[in-house]
Amino acid sequence: MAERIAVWLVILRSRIRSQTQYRTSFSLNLLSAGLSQGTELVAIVCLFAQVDALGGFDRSEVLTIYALSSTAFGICEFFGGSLNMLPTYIRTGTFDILMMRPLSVLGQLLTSEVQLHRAGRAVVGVLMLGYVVGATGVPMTGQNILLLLITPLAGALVIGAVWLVSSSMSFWLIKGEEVTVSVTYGTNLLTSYPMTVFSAPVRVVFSCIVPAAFVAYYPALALVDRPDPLGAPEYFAWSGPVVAGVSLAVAAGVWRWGIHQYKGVGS
Amino acid sequence: MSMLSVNGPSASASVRCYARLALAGFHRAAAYWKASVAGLISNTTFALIRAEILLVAVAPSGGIAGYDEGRIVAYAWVSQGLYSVVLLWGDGELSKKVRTGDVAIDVSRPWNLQGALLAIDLGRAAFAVITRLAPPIAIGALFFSFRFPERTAAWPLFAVSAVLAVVISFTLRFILELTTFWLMDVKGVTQLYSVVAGTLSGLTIPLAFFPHWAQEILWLTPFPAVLQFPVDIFIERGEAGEILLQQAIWAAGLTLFAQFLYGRAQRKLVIQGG
Repeated sequence: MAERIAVWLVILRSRIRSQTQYRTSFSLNLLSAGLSQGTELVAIVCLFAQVDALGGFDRSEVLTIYALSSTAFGICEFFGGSLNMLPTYIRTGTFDILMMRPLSVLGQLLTSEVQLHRAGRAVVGVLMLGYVVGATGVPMTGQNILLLLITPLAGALVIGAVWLVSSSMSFWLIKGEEVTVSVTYGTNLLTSYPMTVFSAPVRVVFSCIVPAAFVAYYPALALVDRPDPLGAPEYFAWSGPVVAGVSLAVAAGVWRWGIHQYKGVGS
Repeated sequence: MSMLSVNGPSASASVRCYARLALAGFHRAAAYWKASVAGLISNTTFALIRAEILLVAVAPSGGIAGYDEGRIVAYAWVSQGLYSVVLLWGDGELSKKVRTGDVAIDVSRPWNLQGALLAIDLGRAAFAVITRLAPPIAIGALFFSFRFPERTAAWPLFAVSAVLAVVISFTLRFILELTTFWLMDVKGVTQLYSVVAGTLSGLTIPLAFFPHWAQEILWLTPFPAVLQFPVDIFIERGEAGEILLQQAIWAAGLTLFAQFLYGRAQRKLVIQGG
């Protein structure tokens, strides 16, 4: 076991060192990652310059949801962003090489492209989280602090599970990238806003298939001390870890099924 | 290396050549139709989410900055579809060719490289109109209070505006890729461009929702001409003639600048061997 961990550490260290060699590119990429998350922040701020409420929620409440969602998505992208490479690996045959090595395939995939600049999104999220907590006066009770700590982690796992399932589509579809992108980045967009913004059909699709509301919406309700206008029970705010566990179990099943029936692209 | 040599092709022959290139661009896009279907799913998802967010902002207030319910819905679906037609950022093929040196082959062909790539891109865009723009408009119209243009004249005006937008977007991409001749690694720059170009051209929210100071700066850039302008013509907001004139000026100015830059880039190119 100790030997295995040592192997992973060597792999990780080499990946990280290779990126810090090109400093200009690295800082530009970090900036891009931050800006791509900041895009939605610009939209929210501009919208609230025109209106007082969005789906019954004011500016600071929406920003709380946005901040929680951004942090969760940022953490998830930082650790799981390499999943985006899966379709390419399958198409080019690199995936077959990963399968031959005596290491976990998923582990190799996750460490294949550790990109430090992906932290840009999480940085934006954490900064916003600090801002909303300070500016809107979320009371710093032990309960709220605990909620602020576990929500982004549980959210990252929920999004990670969604990402894993949508990436597994590549085992069946040859050109599945855009479907994966729309599911993962679509989830990012959707979880940044209150659920009340969306019509019933969209809510049903996105909260049954993807447990999006647990990523940021329910915990944010507890933080700003409001009941859900849509009538969800209060304990939903704390259900993140359970939802994450169930989602991951489902995702792991889909992943294993995909690998099991994967035959290779042949060469 | 001159692009128009003395014994070069006649004018009608070169028109035929570029027309064929455009057709080839269309066929190449059509060959990857499965990618188009996947892309359409992506366009539809984002347009749907975007439409609902904007609708919930606009509906209670009765209208923001000239956008009523029908217009904001049309904005969301048309802008998402048009985004794939004008293609804010492509696959960086030219940039890759410059880095590997393969560009030497393209440069020595008896064509104007910029014109040839533009023709191919127009063909690609034409296919994207069918697979990426028309379906989102149909879906938006089916499920939302979508506002179609009231005047028939808006349709041809929109078509002209969309073509100009493709020309401007292509030329911006071309210029950015040309910089590979001077900076060998443009990945960071192009990634930054692909991130900000969307928001600056009006893909996230209508540019009219931005604060006034930001709008005034944006009107000085070509970004609105790539996406917001054609959408404005579709939803009949603003003076169509004025919008088209601005787009034409941007298209002409950027094309000339790109030609100038391309001329300079060719001087950087050294082809060895025979």
